[in-house]
Amino acid sequence: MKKLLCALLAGSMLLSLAACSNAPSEASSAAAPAQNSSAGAPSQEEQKPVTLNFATGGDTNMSEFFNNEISPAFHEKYPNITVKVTATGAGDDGSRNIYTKWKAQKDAGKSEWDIDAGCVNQSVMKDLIDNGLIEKYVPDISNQKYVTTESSKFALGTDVEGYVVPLFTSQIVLGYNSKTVQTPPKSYDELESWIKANPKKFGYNGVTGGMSGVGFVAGWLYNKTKNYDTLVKGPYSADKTADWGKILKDLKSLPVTYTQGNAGTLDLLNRGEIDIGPVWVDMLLLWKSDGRMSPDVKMILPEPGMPGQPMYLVVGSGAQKDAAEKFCDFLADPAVQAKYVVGKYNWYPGIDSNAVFQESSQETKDLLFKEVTADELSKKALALPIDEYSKAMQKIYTETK
Amino acid sequence: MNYSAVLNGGRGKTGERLLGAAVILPPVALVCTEYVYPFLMSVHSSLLKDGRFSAENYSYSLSVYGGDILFTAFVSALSLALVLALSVTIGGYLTLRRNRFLEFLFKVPLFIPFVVVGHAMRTFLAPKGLLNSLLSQIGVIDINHPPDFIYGAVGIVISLTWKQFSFALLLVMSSFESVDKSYLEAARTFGAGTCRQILNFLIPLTRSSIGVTAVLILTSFLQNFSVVMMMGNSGGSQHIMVDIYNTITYLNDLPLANALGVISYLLALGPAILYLKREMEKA
Repeated sequence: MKKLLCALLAGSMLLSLAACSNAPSEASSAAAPAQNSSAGAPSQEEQKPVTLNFATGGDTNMSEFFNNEISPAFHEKYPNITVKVTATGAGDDGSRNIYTKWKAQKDAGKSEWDIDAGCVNQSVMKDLIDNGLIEKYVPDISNQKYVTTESSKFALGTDVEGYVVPLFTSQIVLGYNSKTVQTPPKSYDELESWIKANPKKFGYNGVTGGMSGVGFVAGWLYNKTKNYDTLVKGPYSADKTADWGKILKDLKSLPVTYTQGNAGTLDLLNRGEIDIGPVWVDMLLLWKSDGRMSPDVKMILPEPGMPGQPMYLVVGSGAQKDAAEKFCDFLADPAVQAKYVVGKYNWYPGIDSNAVFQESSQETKDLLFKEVTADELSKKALALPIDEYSKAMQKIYTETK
Repeated sequence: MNYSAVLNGGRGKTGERLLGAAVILPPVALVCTEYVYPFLMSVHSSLLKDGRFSAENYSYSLSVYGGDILFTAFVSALSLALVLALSVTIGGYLTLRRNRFLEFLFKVPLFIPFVVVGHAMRTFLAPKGLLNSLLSQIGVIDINHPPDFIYGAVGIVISLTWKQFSFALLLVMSSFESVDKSYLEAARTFGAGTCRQILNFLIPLTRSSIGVTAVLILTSFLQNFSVVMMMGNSGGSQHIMVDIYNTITYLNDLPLANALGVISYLLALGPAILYLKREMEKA
């Protein structure tokens, strides 16, 4: 009886092992939406039902944005197209998951891919273009005349013109407690003096844990090296980083409070543990509207500026091209940008901001531009360094003790 | 000679051996494919630098992250010492003087995930968090100049200790309860108090179980990510798991991350070898 039991046990274990090895590949992929039978071939007829598979990187606010706002609005305009949204994760990793999925399917020789279009950040654009994974679709869409911003042409040194519609631009600024800081520093040099005079009252997250800290350090380098154009346009040259060790060592020697990331900086600002810190504009406004941030915390954009970054809409080379282009075109419409991107989610527009703000309410414009004006943004909204300089900055910052 | 009996006995033993091998084959295969193979791939990747074999990732890890490696070992060891001290003391007390309610209270952290513990500690222990706000109400501290030492080693040790103490208590109490009660009765007869019973009877008689508990707890500290990420100090020394995460996410340097991973395996290897050695000695 014992032997029979052992034999049955061994057999069931073998079967379960075989079953596990045959688990669908989607189970191990973070970026794989469910297959849909109607997604087999690109739709040639306008009224044929189509399921558009869309993947977005970024935080939970991104998937909420597409699921709760854009998908229903788009379906209303194009009733035959249903958008299925998959979130691939925050940060560079989320966008890299989309790249990894497309690369795997291209390498496997598949003509129809699981993801038709995606929302990615700048860091992955070079790899997407170099590997022929995305379409140059912008000239084909009706709203292409609004896709004119600098970020629609270059992404960290890579020429992306025609490949992307920037969905939004998010901007890093300095958040400050207006009750305790009567005269906020207007430049990085003033900020440095302020930090020395107010030890531990400035906080940021270093170069890890959140892009607000990375952007702050990039702005620090721009101010100290005066090499902004080279750092954001390239080409990369190692001798341009020769003095970064000393610059970053001086930065690290300042008496600051280190936070745990974007949310960490906002938390400490809210609790009054720090009085100034780099924050994302949209996160600050969102927290204020949610009641999670003191209304005393305001924004300032110091000289010479701070970086921001866009998120890009891209169309995969193995996509249902017609439906995907319609979706990106929909989001390049100034009215859609005004209502959803700017109006509901407090991002800066990704396309021609003049066209968008003509459609925006006064209340929205007041909220977005009350503390940091459009004019200031046009002069001081900078780009992040190109990939090589960005990695060098992270490496040297980490190595500097 | 009864050849039939010999042959039958021999066939029976071979059959049993084959059956035993068939039973252990699936879990061994699972461990090999899900752990051994990825581990070997990780080691292979850690020895690659710009496409060629090199130990450069290890020398870079030790020079740049050496402080973090020591920090990881330090906070893990300190947290372990505190966990063991608390679990043995409180476990011994609760074994000798039964109190179900206190026992339940001490085991509550078992049901709270690490990430929740990290977030709770971050807000509770923050300079202007709940604890300091309460203490300032009774005049213990000045809320305008609160103590500011929580992010870093102190916060990590407090959080890890609080979370894993209940797990250690569970294991330690179950081994204390397996001690023959007659030893303890005899000790009490000769006037041994609670402390003496714990120190001179319960601990020596359950040393191997406490050792196993220590190995399990230490491994959990070495591999922890959520608490050390939330309670760490970005400007100071970091836990090695945070360095691995940052290397992958921000530097996209997988060979370097794998080198750090191998170093963390080696940190855990010592306790693992001790554990296996003890298990084999017992067998």
